[in-house]
Amino acid sequence: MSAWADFLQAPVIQAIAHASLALLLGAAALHKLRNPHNFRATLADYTLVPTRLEPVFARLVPIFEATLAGLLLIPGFGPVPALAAGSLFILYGAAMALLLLRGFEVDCGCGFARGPQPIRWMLVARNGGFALVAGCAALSATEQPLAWLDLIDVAMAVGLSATLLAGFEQAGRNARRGRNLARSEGAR
Amino acid sequence: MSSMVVSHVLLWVAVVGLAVLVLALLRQIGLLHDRVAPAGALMGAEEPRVGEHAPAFELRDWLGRPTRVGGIDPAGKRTLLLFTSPTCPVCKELLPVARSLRDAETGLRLVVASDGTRDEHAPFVERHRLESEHYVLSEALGRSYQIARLPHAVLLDAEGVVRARGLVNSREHLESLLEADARGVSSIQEYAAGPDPKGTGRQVA
Repeated sequence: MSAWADFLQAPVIQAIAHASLALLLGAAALHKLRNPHNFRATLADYTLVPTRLEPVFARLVPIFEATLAGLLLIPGFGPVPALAAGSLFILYGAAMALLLLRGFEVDCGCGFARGPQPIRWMLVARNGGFALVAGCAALSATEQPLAWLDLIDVAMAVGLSATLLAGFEQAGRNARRGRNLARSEGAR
Repeated sequence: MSSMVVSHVLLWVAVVGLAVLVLALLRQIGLLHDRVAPAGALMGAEEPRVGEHAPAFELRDWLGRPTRVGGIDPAGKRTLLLFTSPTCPVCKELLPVARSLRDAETGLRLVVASDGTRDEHAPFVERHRLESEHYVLSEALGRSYQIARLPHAVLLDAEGVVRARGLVNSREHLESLLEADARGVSSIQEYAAGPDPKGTGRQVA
């Protein structure tokens, strides 16, 4: 356990976790800010926010995400930004889980995949993974300055994580389209 | 700079480079899916089939205006009947496409159909400004056309005969219904599979 704690509290690991979460939340906020109409439509689809509050949430959520992204990159705020990010991912996952249990098929509004992406249990699990990373980022880092090689590690690891996430999203989309194509071939 | 540091950096570059390459390949597969997807609306075995008279329905749209679906159209117009649902992501993308087709084609009216209660549809109608369209809620209409999957479109001629129908999820699919009607075939797939019945000589992509 101590070895795991030492690993998770290593400055490089903490920097990777913070930077990855900041990139994730920043990209999510940017997507919502560039497509406010779509995000409001997604909020309405989820039917979890009262209609009269949809415009308020549509404005506040991306601002909150962008603020968290900034705070995650600035030292001195302790575990608060990471805990807030983890809570947000858990909230999003819970919202998807609730709709899945109700039998709804709506677009997740995630913004990472190109084109509509219906909610599914894999996305709930994915958000659980994001919340775990946020939990790790809430740990305090050991007092140790980062060397220039550490900074290369951080940059490369964040880039790799983003590329792998995009790759998995695309692979999932391709698999769904492949299944639809197979069904349509069968229907003929 | 030690060889360990050099190999460390080079390995990172290699790993990230490979990940980018894999992502690029996956995107290419996605593009191939776009290319191999059926060019036209996917026609199933639902009734009424192409060439058969559709049942006539006298309905009221969202604003209470009388809306006829099927039967003889007094204005001599064709009807593009689009079945949608507020919880269907692709349906929402098709609404502006269906509207633009209706605006571009002469003698074509658009009816958007769904089922459920007004409360369930009110946010959807408001968000997509469907009050200006003939938006009808009728479970009987959906059952009579044997609608199982959405979005589904049916093209009726002015006499209420089904000219084309099928699952649609793109502009090309909706246009294929009009194209099939123009060519006198039940679907673009039928046209692509057989000889050109009107001898136009055009090839469907």
